[in-house]
Amino acid sequence: MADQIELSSPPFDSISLVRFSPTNPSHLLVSSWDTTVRLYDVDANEQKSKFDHRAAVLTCCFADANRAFSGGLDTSVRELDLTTEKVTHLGQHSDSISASNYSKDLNVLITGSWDRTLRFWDPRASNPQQASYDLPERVYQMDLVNHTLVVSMASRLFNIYDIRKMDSPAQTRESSLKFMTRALACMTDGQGFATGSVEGRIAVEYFDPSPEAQEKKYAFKCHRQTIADVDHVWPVNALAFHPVYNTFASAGSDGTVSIWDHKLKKRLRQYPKYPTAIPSIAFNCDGTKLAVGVSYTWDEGEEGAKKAIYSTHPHHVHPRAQISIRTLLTH
Amino acid sequence: MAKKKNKQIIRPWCWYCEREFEDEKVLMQHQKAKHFKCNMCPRRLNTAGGLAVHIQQVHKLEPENLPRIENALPGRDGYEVEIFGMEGIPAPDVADYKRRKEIELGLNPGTITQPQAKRPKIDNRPLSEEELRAQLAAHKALMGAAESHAAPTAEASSGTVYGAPQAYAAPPVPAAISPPAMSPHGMPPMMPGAPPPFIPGAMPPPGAFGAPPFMPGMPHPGPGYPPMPPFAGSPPPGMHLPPPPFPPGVRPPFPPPPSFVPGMAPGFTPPPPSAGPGMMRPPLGVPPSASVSPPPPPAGFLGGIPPTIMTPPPRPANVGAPAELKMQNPALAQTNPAFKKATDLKWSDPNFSPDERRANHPKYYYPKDVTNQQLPRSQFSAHGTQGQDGPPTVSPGDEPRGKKRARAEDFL
Repeated sequence: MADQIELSSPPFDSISLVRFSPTNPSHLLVSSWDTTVRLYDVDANEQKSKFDHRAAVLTCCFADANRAFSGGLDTSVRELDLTTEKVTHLGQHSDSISASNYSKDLNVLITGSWDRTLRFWDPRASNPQQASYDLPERVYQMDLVNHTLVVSMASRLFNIYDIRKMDSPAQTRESSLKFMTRALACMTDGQGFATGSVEGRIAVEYFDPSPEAQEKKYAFKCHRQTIADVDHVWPVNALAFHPVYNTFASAGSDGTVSIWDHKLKKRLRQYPKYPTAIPSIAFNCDGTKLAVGVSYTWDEGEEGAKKAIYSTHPHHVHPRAQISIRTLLTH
Repeated sequence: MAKKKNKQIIRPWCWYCEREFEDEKVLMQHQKAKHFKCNMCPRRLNTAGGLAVHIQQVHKLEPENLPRIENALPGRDGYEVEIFGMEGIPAPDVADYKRRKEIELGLNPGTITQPQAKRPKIDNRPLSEEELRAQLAAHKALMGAAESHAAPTAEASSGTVYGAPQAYAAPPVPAAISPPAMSPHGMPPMMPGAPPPFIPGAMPPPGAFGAPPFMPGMPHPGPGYPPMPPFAGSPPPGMHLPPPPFPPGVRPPFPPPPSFVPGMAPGFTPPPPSAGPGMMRPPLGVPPSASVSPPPPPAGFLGGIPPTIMTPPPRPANVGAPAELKMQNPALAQTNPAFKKATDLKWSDPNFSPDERRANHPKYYYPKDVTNQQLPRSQFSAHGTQGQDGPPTVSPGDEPRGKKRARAEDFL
């Protein structure tokens, strides 16, 4: 079996997020700038269902095997029934929804938006919106491990919450990286998190506020290349921790995916370059597969969108988005 | 019923812009003219692939510099899919299109596009005495009725007006305000305020409105009708007021009012109280042969109305240009530190992410609907809301009055 397959029928425009099902290792949810959310069965390589939206979708997340949520530029929070393709509207933010996470323990959907709020939703309630919490800045990314929610915002701000007591953040931090935060992922063991910045750098931080734990935090450079004495530095667009080994993968606008061991501070692997940037990556629940969304990430604005699209084959036109599924054999 | 209706309704449509056509020939002409036209010479090609090869070979453009296919919806402006008329449309899109036609969703009032096929035609003849009387009765009934259920009226009726009889070009968007009680078909359980012209005394109760037997008559206006005058907002709910192409931004605050003005409903005065498909014919003199696909109607029908109507919402072209991105809290603005050595930083904007820039690009920009922010009222008061960011909350008691007044003002 090839160690990498490419999904047929990818979205028609850039991918915003790829996410595997929490229970089914072959179900992958993909949200896209083409205004869709699609569910794929990666083993069968088929598109199982598709949900159209009114505008680009920036985020999606699973609740369980059959339900998911989505949010994007049209500011509305939707619940997607993956088997019937029924869509339920839960409510709205006042600006684009940029991040979402579902807590199984509390049965609550958490959305973050550029309207500078976090909102909690209970899809079963008659008034799904349970609460709204103000933040100092626009939400860029969120990740949740156990009850710890890490929210990364514009202006390099971070809030860390215990989602059982949301009245105030457990910690507020400024990024240890000097550039805009572009990626965030919590460690599988719940000890800390990793963040990536637009300036090809990843920081590994720990939740424990004690000085000893904080001393262990560090940052390193990646996703860059020196060409003719000029450092080309790409954003780190995505990070994902392996559910079993607690190592993590990073992906950047340079089109590379690397696997890192943050305890040994070593790179375990770097996969061959993909044709264009990588907006999102995800491990599946049993850690046997890595989904890699490949598509333009707007780093060069509209111009880049024009040239990022086609291959150099004159008669073979490549799709604008591609989803590669890597089968992970060893680490 | 939806299914049956659909069979009649689904006509050839263009994958690139989701416009519908009378037949496939017209569709192909449209595609040649609108989508497969070379913008460097007058040549029109038959397919996207043909166009790509033409541009590469005749105009010597590198494949990566091919212009996007013109006039296409976002995500459909590529050369990957070989479309020829109705052939080659990706199966998921066909299914999806059909589904959209079939399903009536619980939708935001005013966020839906309308079925232009069902748009009734109206003639502008003077109203007869009897019709005027009936309209007055309708109006009175309506204003009277509004007393009793003012609250539901305002909400439900706007929902109705846009949401009711169209299984149609509606993009699958759930409603923001629509009450959860809304039926899966998007027909609010009750639509008291909406269908004034039909309400009058002898008419079927409002609830009957969504009832199947009622519908068939409406979608098929006779061929001979002139295009509907822009203000003639009288016909059955859901058929007047061409929906704003970008409902959230442009939506008039109270869509239904026009239909309450008796004098403004020229052609559609309450006909003899029969609910059958024939109901609007006698008074209007529609030839009984009105059929599913009438012969090519006046130019206005094909060329004028449908494009706006069929334009799916994500298309930003006719929306006001997106505003320049601004920091809400300038005090937090960042500046990138300088580099020690020559560096090509691929994303150098310290304050806005690539996604934000992209979201603000006209191709993706989606107008934020401030008026749509009326989240269910209680949410902001009931639970532990931390923020003051919520919309100004209106206490439930105030609302009906405000809406009623607005409607009354509209009437005046």
